Amino acid sequence: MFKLLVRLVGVLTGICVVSAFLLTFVREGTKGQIEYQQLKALMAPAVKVVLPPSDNDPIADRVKVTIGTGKKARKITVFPAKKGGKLFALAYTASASGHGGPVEVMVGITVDGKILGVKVVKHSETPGIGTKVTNSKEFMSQFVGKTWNSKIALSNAGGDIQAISGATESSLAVTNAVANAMKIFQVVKQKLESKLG
Amino acid sequence: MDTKRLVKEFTKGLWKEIPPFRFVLGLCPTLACTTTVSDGLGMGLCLTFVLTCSNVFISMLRKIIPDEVRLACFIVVVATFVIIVELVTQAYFYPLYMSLGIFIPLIVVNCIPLGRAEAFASKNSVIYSLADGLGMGLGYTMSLTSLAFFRELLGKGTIWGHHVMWSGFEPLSFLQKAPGAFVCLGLMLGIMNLVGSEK
Repeated sequence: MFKLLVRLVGVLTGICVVSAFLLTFVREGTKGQIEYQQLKALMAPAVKVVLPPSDNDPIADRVKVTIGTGKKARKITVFPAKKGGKLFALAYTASASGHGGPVEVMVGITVDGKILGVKVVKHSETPGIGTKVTNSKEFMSQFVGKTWNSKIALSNAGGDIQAISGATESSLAVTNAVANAMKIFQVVKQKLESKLG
Repeated sequence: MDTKRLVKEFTKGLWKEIPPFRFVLGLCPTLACTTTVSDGLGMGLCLTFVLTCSNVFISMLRKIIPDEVRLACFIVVVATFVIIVELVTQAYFYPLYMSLGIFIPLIVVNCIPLGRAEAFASKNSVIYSLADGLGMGLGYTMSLTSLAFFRELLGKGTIWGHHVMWSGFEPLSFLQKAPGAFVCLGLMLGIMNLVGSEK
């Protein structure tokens, strides 16, 4: 009886262990490629909007940089755009809280710190109200041309971004997210350049 | 090794025992993954890989696996290959992975790999199990692709995403829905029985 039990447990355990080893191996082998595919599906449409055409594939050339120190440290994925081997623009995401949760925007910025384009990549704003902001190309175009040190705020807070009426909260969220992105621009750029070498 | 038997084990899955039409097995993906030819072919090839590999491994282990825990062992072997397929399709065939979705992990509970393991691989040598798995898998792929061919052609007017019907063609969108899949499958089963009964 005991011998049988040992045999049953032994064989099943053996098969499971071999299976686990095999799967670990396959998982490690496909990890990078899977991450690339997921980012491509999720980020490629936004990257295309916020960055002008480049010689390289910004998604394949993505770089992870760490912002902040200690407990506040977080990793940001930066998508660099190059022409003739030289970095001329970069894109990354930043977020701010909106009406229904965090609003994440992708911002494309030149190396001099000028905004090329803004696109919302993730949000949970009210359909029909908040989405008037997140889908609006006119609203996003207000950010184009702003630089990393200019004031990015709604008109009622001393800035010059016109909120979409009826959707002030969502307008504020997008504006804050863009402002958050610009706040870290210098650090991101510096780290990106040092990583690109 | 008997070449004649080897050929027989391989070809039986292609016609005489073609899984979804003769045994009416593995119907869930047959109905769900046949809206386009690319989905049908992709699903069929995923299953062929899983079935062939699991058949070979189970046949190799058939003298070691105790009878009392054979089902658990079979499921672990099948699940391992399903996860490999899932990871590889996700890494290299992302659009296919997205359109097949939950049906790739669901191959684990598909009755074909488990059924072949129980009925064939656990009783026969490796080489015959390989032929059996490959034949059954390709038969399944053929069934799914042919069903998908009619559903895509008549339901969408396209083949492999290309428009092939004349410009005024009105697609029978009914065929793209679940009831259309049942009707199509029923008709195919009927035709197969008609042809098969002429002995």
